[in-house]
Amino acid sequence: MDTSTGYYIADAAHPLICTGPLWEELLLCHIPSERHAELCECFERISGKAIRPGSILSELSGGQKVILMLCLAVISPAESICFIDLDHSLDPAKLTAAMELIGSSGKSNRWQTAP
Amino acid sequence: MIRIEAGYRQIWPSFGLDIAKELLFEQGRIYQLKGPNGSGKSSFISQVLIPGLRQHDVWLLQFEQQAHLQLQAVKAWAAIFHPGLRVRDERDLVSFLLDDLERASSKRSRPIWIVADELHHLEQVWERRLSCCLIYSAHHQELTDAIPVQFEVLNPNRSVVSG
Repeated sequence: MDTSTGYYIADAAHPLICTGPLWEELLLCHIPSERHAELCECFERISGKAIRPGSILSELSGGQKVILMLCLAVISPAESICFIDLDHSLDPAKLTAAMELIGSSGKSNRWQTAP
Repeated sequence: MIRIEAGYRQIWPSFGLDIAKELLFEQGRIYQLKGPNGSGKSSFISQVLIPGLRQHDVWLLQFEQQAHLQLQAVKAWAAIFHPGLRVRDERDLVSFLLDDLERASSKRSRPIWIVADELHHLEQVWERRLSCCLIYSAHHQELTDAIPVQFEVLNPNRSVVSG
């Protein structure tokens, strides 16, 4: 990995930090309030499940947490993202949707596999 | 053998599973829980399968989904009870727990059940050729002769399971 670039680490083994309401994770990821609706729409489009800032993260399935991690990374102000093991946790249809989202984000990205 | 009766299970306040017909899991077989993200595979494991197995006199080894917390716990356990042994990553975790299971099983024979939820190193379990029942969930790993148990999303609040 190019160590001169700072990467937002999106690791599917540790997808989220918070277990309470989504807005806590939104704060940590520096998602401005004007982009909350966009994030929720993005998540619902890929996962098929509606979410809102008050939704409790511990109620999401493992795969849904990974999808949310992806949406947070893409909508965050980070310019470069390092995805770790994204493919392991997603079913083929959602992985395709995830790849499309990453491709359309215009952000530089790296991929890694866990040891 | 473990038998899970057909019927509707309210797993979480906002999510339920319809078990379309009775599910049977037998020793000596491998079962793959298949279905898209959010279809209830992990909920089935934690809320139906594991409680069902704990009612029997068995050796049960469960590899949890996103196993970093389990890894930390096993690291701590190994540091105390097996000083000098390093558990660094998921591969080491699998080896350590399988060794522990084999030791325990050699001292007292009981049916062995292994449940693995999206385990990266599933092949390590399979390669041991233990006499057991292996039940696993994975999107991209297919073990030879695995019997599929299909999970289908009816809506975000309800899925159906069929053997």
